[in-house]
Amino acid sequence: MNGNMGVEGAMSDEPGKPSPKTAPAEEGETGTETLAKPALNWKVVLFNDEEHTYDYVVEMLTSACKLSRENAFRCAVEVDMTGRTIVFYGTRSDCEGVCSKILAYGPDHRLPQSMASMNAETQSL
Amino acid sequence: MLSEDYEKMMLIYLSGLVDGAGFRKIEDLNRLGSRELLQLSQKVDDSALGLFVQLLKSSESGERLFEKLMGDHEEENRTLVDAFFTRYLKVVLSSVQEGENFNPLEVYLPTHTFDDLAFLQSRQGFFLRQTIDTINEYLNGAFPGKHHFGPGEQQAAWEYFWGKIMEK
Repeated sequence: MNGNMGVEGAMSDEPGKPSPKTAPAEEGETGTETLAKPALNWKVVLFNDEEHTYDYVVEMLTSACKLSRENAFRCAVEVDMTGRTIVFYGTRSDCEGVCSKILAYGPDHRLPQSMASMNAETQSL
Repeated sequence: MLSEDYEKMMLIYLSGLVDGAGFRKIEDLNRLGSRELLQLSQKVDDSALGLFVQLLKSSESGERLFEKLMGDHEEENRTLVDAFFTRYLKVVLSSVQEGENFNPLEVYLPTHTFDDLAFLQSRQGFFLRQTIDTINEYLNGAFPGKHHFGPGEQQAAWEYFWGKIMEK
C-alpha cells in the first residue's frame, strides 16, 4: 500500500482501513523477472490520552495519514471511546513513515497542558 | 468519564426517549442493536449528544458500542451512521476557526505566554505549520516594526521569534 491509501474514496467503511480495490501498483513486474509485492501487513495504531482535542486528532490525521476529515473524525471518536484506533495499513516502511509523522506532529496548541504529540505504534497484522 | 450524577441524568433522559423498559445502568444500552442505538442517538438533542457519547465511553463495552455506532458495517445502516457522525462532528469540533481576522498564533501563542519558554518551545511545530502571511501578521502585532519573511521562511521566522523572546 502506498502513502496515498488514506485518500478520500480509497477507504472502506472502517476508518483507516483500505478497501480491497486499493491494491498497490505492481511495480516489480518487468519482463520475465517478477519481484515480490511489498507486504502490506503492517498497521499504525493511535492511542488515546487526555492531552489532545478532537480538533487536533482530525487535523493531525488529515495531515499525517491523508485521511478525509470525516474518516479522521471517526478515528477520533474510536480512539476516544475505545482507547485506540488503527489509522493506517501498509508496508512496514510506509507505516513507519506515518508513525513518525504522528509522533513528530507536536502538542495540541489548544490545550496549555499539552506538551507532546499523541502516541502511536507500528504493529504487524 | 461522566460523573455519577450526569450518568443518572442521561439514563433517565434516554429512558424517556424509548418505548418499554428504560435504562437503569449503562450496560443496559448493550441490549440495543446497532440500528436501535443509532435511532436512539437521532432522538438525542444536539446539546446532549456529547454527553451521550461520553456515556457510551463509560461503558465497559466501549469497543462493541463503537462498532454499533459504525452500524456494524452493514450497508442498510449507512444513512443512520453518516447522519450520526455528521451531527456529532458539528457538535464536537471547534467552530472558533474562521473569521476574517482570525490569526491562530494570536489566539494560541498570546503575548502573555512569552515568559513561559517551555510552553513556547512546545509550540514550535504549530508555529512552523502556519502560512508565512499569518506569521508576518503575528510578528507585526507582537514586536515593533513590519516583518517580511518570504514563502518557505517559516524556520527563519521561528528563529527570529525565538531570538526576540530570549532578548526579553
